[in-house]
Amino acid sequence: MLFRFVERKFWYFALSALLIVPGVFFLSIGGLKPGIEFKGGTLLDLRFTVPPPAAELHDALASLGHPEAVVQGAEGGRMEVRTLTLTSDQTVAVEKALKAKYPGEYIDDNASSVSPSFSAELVTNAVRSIVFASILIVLLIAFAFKEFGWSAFRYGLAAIIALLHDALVVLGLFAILGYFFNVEVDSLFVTAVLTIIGFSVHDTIVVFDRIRENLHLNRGEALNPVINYSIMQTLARSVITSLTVVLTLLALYLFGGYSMRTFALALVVGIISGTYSSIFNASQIISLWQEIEDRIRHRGGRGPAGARAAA
Amino acid sequence: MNRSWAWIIAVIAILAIWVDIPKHQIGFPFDCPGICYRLGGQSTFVEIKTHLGLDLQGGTQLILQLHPERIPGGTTTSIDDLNTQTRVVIDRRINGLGVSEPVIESLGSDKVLVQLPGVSDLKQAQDLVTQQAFLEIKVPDVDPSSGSASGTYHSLTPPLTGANLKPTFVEFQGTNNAPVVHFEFGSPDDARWIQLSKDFLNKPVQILLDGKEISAPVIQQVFTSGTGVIQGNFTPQSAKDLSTLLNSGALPVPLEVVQSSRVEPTLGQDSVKRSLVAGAIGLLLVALFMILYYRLPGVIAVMALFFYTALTYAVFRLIPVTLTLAGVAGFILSIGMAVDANVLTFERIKEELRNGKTLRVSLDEGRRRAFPSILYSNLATILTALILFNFGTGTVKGFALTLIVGVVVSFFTAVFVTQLLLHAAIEYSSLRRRRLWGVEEKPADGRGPTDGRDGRATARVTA
Repeated sequence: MLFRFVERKFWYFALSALLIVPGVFFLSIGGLKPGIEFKGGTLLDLRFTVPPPAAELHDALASLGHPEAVVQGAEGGRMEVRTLTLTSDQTVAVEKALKAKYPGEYIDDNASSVSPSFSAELVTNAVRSIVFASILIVLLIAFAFKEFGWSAFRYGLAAIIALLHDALVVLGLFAILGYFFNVEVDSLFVTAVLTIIGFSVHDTIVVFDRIRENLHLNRGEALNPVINYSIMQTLARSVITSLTVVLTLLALYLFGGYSMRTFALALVVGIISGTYSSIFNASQIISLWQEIEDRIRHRGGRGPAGARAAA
Repeated sequence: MNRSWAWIIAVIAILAIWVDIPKHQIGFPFDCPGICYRLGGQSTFVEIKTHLGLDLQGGTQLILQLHPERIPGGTTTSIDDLNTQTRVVIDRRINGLGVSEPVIESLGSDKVLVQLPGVSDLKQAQDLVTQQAFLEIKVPDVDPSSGSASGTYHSLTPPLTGANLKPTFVEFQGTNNAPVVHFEFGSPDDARWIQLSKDFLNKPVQILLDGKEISAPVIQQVFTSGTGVIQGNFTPQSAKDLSTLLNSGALPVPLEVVQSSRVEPTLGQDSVKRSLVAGAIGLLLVALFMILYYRLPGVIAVMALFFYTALTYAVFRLIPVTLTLAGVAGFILSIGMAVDANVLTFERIKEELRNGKTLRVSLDEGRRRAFPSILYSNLATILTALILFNFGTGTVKGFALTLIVGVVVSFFTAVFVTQLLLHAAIEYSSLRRRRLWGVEEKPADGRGPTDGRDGRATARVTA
């Protein structure tokens, strides 16, 4: 009883597209909201015993000369205030004024400022690291599958498509969250995306390694069936590993405190997506590639039809 | 796997646990907290403790941008040298402040990261770090007709600055014991200082700090040495601050704060508690799942997992890795990855067992076949973590470092410790029952498992 992983590949690709397209739409209309780290500005994290209405706090800040302030309530009596980049003197002045206005019921937990020039540098670094990581991963996989010769690169590329899939799912989700709930992304989010990339490749390599081993054991067998039972054989491992990681992340999400929440959420979604893409997308891309190549060869009359192992 | 490996791993486990135990509570059997060397008369000692990042213990962080283009008249010093000099000056200033374990490191060549644990006064920190502390003595413009000072000042050529000052100190002068800062020029500025007193006797000279006048005393007599005092309505504290600033030297380059953040200590402690709870619950959930799903190998994996946790934490304390909130997340995440290597191996072992191989053969085959997957997938994670470490700042770096340590240690645990425990387990006949390994018992007729040499059959799953 074999599950038809390869034959139904277009269904799985369609499901992936269904997950990615809305996210890409919200990404393109600017749904992804950069945090102060990436656009510059000051974030004050205030904690009140009895939080005042956001509008009242905004008026107070406006009267202090910061009409651009955005005030947002958060759980546990916390209020987040975002302004343009303040100097430390300005920050201290604001905190003093607020302490005077709300005596005895206000604690300033956190204050952070980032200048716009520095944040631009952080964005460049984030983008550069993602691109750089992807290139290195293609090379690593090409090296790991070097016995396939040039087709080793198609394994690398398939792994990259799978990881782009996972990165897009998470970016899309946060674009939607940003659009509707003003969820911001910070460097911790970039960390999450890079970790997801690492995990996605991790999962994909396990499946590919099994395909390699089975191609080796069964020389001459067609590629598609080999892929099919290779996925079947690694299925338990893929699901169980993801499950254990999701379990630890769930603990992090539920008990790890507010600042860890979006981080844990991004990771959970990314890891589930990574498991999906490694089971339903990565190897199917290899299969599709081989089928297209065979068809071209067949038309050229240079080779036999049917997906052959690329060993 | 032979017996010597067992001993090595046991010793590592004991050492790791010893490193993990907080030393201020248990001194026995060592009388100093940490690693001590006593060779002859020499004794050194490295304290072992968990280093907490600013977000976990509270404090202030500043990232400073160097602006060599703003140096008046330009500079020929390279940016790297300027960076080093800047850090030396900031280090001296902070030492005068008495902050424990400050971090002052370069961030690329044009930035400096300063972390001041326990300092929650953002403004004090910023002033201390960014003040240029450029001392200059200017001389009065003299009206050529009357020969008296006109009230304006100009620099000497070359300017007389604080570059050659000997260490300054605070003294108390006059009938009201007013605090003043006592300074002394070193050679060759001491001679210029004496000459200056001859040239401008009975006229005021101006003492400026960062272009602002702090005092303009009138020279009463010709000096005989390079000493002088700065008076300027000081309190004892402000006189001491000025003295510290002057002693630390001037910053070689103007600095701008491009990132600042302050975390209250209470918030940090709360985060530590929450992360510890999350880590413990995560570990427990995974342990429970592994035992329920894999039975005996699950128990072994959990033992290996605790070994892993103890060893990783010990490595964090020894290197030391500064634990930040992101770092704790990386640690918790690496627990999941540590499990993966075991899952890969166990799934393989089950397959081999189902194919009718003996336990011993299955264990070896399981390890051998799972190895490339484990190796390459761990390499991929380490690669991304290394990139994170290189490009990232602060939080991201901490996360990457803990992830790298975690993956390396988990590789060691999965490949050596789990295997050792598995092989130890099959020495006991009561532990050799196939049901304990998560596979159905052999059919009644299958007397003695086969060696399973038919390589083709092993490729297919018999589901």
